[in-house]
Amino acid sequence: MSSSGLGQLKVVTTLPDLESIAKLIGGGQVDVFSIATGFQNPHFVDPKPSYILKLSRADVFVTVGLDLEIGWVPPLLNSARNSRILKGGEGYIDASVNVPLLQVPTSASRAQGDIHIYGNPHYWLDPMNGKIIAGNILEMFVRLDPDHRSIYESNLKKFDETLDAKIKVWTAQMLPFKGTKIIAYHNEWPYFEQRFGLQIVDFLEPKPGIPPTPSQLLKVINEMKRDQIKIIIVSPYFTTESADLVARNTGGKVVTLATSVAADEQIKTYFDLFDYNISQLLQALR
Amino acid sequence: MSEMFSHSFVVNALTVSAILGLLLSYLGVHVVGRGIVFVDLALGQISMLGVAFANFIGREQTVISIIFTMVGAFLMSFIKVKDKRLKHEAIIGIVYAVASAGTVLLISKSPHGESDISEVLFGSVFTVTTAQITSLAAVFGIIGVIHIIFRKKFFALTEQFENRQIEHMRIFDLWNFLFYLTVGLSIVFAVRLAGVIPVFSYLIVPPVAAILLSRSTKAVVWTSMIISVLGGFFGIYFSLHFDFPAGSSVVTILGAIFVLVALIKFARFKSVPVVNDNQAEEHSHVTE
Repeated sequence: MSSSGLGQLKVVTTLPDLESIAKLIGGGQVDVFSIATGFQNPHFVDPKPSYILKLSRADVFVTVGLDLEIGWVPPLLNSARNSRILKGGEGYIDASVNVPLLQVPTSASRAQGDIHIYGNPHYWLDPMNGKIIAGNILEMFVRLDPDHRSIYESNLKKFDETLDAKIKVWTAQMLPFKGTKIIAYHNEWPYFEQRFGLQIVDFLEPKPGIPPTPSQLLKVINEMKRDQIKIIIVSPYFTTESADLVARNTGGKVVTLATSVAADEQIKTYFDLFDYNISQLLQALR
Repeated sequence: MSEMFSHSFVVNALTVSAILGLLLSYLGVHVVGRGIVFVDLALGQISMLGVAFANFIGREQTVISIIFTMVGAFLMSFIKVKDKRLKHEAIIGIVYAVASAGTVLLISKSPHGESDISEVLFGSVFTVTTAQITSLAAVFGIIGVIHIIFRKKFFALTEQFENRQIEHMRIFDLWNFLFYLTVGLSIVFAVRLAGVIPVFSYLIVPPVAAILLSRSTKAVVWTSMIISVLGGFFGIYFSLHFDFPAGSSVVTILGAIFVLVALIKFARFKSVPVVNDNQAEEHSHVTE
């Protein structure tokens, strides 16, 4: 069934961000498919038959891990019956390995509503972590396809260099706004926030996964007025009604940031993801 | 087409659809006959309320949601509307609304929010496990056997509701309770595997189409079951061919079958205006 060319590694990723990185590292040696699209909430994906078919033929499966995809990846893997890509199998990559995790809960905070027991899973939104993800993917490609080791390694080198250069530019652009307080809809920005020196003071969701309540919106409105906060960041898959309401009441601005590659047609690669988000933020901050 | 069956997930999906379709389309004949089509959504919502409650107190979901459904079925068996201005559906609608609201209230105070609830809503026949199929077959098998053995009791009861001859019925009627209990349990198990809307469609669409096509109760039951199996089979085929989610595909195909049946009925009605007394009566109403 290798219609895509002989000897290519067949790679399936959960998110388009992992797809983009796998393509940049694998180049022409790999055939990559992402299950989720860029504008989909990665916590929920409705299974389609093609996902199971792709998984049943895959050599490599890359997942964000940390229970982000807990609702849909285990059932899909179970249906695909491909032992290579099961957890612990030779083709299974948990991209979060070696990533310094944020918001790893203590038992006390778990009762407070921390849904992610391993830490916040949105780590790919720090470009530095992109390098770690790329390293994990490289290790797997080299192990499964040692003949093309040099190609993979030079691709990784190119990826790291490009990313390093871009991170310098992005952080320099964001430097004047260091410490700016902002509001977010959902708790998916801690890695981004830390890298680019922003300070998220509150969320529109009273708890992760629970739609905004009136008392929470009122609390946020008061915080925004008190601390002169001007920006509310939302993701493409949440409705902006509550954010718009808060913005109207505070004179703030709603900025939709991309949480994944392909969330907007301009965002074709992992690099574009940050180019896009930084430019959106700069526009709003200026 | 034969290539489609080489994948175990497709075989599993077809098996589950057939099991779900056969029992639900049969139960649906009662549900439609009694005029309680929203019983599915109401009992489904009560089971969801159970899941939310289990999360709220931090206990295991399955047992609590089954207990909630049983209590819900028990309470619903008391619904006997004798006032001609009201329908059973109205009371069931109230149950649905209040159970939904209760679920939202509980979720908003639960430590883990929506994350656990969503698993229950997002069933797909493509991702069922062999163990799930076995337990589904066992539960549905037992319910099916109960309904086969006591079919006369259940159909007599449904007829009473159909004709609104419920004045002399006891406040607590064991058979009425048993009916709601079997419907409730089927829904709890079915929704987890196939999702809310497909289950609702299996319960309603085949019986309605069957009633359009057949007259005797026996014929309605058989036609309904045949339609459900065809709908499941072609729904999954449609889903595989165009790469759509399974649930919505089955619902769409069932809808298409219904439209086809309605057209056949219409054509027959036109060509042979007086088929039987019922239709003659309908016909005279139309021409008046």
